[in-house]
Amino acid sequence: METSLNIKAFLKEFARNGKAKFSLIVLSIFAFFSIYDLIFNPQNPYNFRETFALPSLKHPFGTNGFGQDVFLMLIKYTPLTLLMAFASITIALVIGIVVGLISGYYTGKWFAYILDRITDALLGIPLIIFVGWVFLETTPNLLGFIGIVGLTTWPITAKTVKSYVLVVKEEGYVEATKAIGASDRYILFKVILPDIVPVAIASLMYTAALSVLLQAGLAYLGFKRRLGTSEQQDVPYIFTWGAMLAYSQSMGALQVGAWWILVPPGVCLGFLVLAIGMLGSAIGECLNPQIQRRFYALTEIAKIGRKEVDIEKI
Amino acid sequence: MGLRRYILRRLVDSMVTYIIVFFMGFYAFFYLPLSKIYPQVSILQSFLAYLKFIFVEKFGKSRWGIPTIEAIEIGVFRTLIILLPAIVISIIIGYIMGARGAWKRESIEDDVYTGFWLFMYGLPVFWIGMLLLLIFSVGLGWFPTFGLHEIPLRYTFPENPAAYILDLVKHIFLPVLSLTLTSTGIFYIIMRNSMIGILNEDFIRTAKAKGLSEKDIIHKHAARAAILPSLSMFGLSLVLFSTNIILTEVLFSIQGLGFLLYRSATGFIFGPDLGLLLASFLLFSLVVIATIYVLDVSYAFLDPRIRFEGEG
Repeated sequence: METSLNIKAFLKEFARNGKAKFSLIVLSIFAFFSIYDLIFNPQNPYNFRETFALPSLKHPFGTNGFGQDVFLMLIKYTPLTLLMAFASITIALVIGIVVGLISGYYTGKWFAYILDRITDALLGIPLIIFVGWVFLETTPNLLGFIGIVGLTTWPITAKTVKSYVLVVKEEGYVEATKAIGASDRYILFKVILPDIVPVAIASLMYTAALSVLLQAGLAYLGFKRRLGTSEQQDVPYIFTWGAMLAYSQSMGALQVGAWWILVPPGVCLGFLVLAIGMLGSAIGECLNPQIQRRFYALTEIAKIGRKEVDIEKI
Repeated sequence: MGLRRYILRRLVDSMVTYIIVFFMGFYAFFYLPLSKIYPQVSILQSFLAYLKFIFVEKFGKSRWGIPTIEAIEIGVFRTLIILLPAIVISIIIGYIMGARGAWKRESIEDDVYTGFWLFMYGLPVFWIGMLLLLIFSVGLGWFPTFGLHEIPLRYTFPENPAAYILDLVKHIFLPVLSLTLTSTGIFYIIMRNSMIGILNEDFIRTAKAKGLSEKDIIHKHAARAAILPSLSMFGLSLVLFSTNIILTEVLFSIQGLGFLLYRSATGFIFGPDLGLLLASFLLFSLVVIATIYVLDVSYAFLDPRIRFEGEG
């Protein structure tokens, strides 16, 4: 089995992939927004002469209730949205792969059992309330937010990885490595892991959706108040597209019928999730030549349940 | 492994899962706030207090002065009123379109369906709800913007059932529509993939060779076989769904379990209502875990392969 990665072949494959093109175009537009904001830091002052102005040449997406330009707002809210999405998805991916590897490889051991049950528990609770509450009670700052979302959104990745480990560990080459006396750690990280990573990355769509939408939903719910304790603490206002939506609603965009304020952040969130999912799917396809069919990787998750049940039954 | 043993083992699994949820509830909603007020309290003491609070005091009284359990009862009913229609409609649409997409796989039609539903899956449900409100309530004025009923909701049979039902349907239309739009995607994907696996099997080739019509093959042969394996995926599909229910209830001010969770966590003016928060957290998780268990077991029950393997 070839574990070393042929970068040139990978890039060649990647450049031909349609999904990769789509996601790179979308992500580079968002990256451009972020860089523009970070370098030029455009000012967006209140202007009460032009409240709720319709989209025009001067204001491509119109203005909000304070006369701020919606397009500039969108740009201003981009960097943190991107940072938080990628950071928490990365954390979730890493934890999910490790948990899936352990619980798949050591099936039957007590710690694998507990890991499985923790995975199920995270799938069962009302995640958004739990995450919001723990965030406020423990670490109400940006890093804490990223960390907690990352720490709670890994179950889907873990389940995907586990179902593949169950299949892969019965394969001949793993048995052969075991027969020549390789340690468990060697088998897990040197033999199984390289096979698993493309699959885990390819099914990123669901983790991306969960992570990004959880953050947007939390911003919308506005877990601002820290009560039930003696101290009151201000939670930082986090500039994400979800917060922009909540801000627009509280400003009365719905009552006025100002669709031009609501549409851009929502569409951008949708494209962000889709772009991350497609990027994962493209990377997975190029890393693992077996994942080649169209949309195969994106829909891979649908097989998990069946595999797991079949294997445990026999 | 026999069917009975499988059912029993899944039951034990679900119970262990629920015990973990129970501990998570303790840590997040009991120990964390308590340790802020009384730093000297040990984790064991607060766990005993937690058990007493749940089993002896039955979650205490809610902010409205009625026992928490009573406040929650009505919430469950309201949540189910929007949850069940949404889930049934999304499963039906997802399965019909998934079967279609799989039949036409790798064509433009399939790509359009898949792209559309994946895009919808990645959209925030409250945002879709806002746009629907803008179009249908603010713009056209067809549907009310919040709540569940103008006519009071009672368990007793209403005096004018037709007007009552019409009123209810008008109120739940937009919440159900926004939930359906965001959650059909996952059922579509599950069904499409399951169907593709089935379409490669021999009995479909036989059906084609017999000269059956496309419609008959899809609906009478393939779809029936494909629905079964996709049932076991149901648990995973509920992850985003439970978050979406909470957001929908908050947007449309439907005072169900999700709204209670949100309100008791953030507090009106007086701060969070810990009893209500804990009770609705535990009940919500119980409903989801029990649903997943029932689906798992019914899958094992319906799938003949599992039964025969178990006996053999």
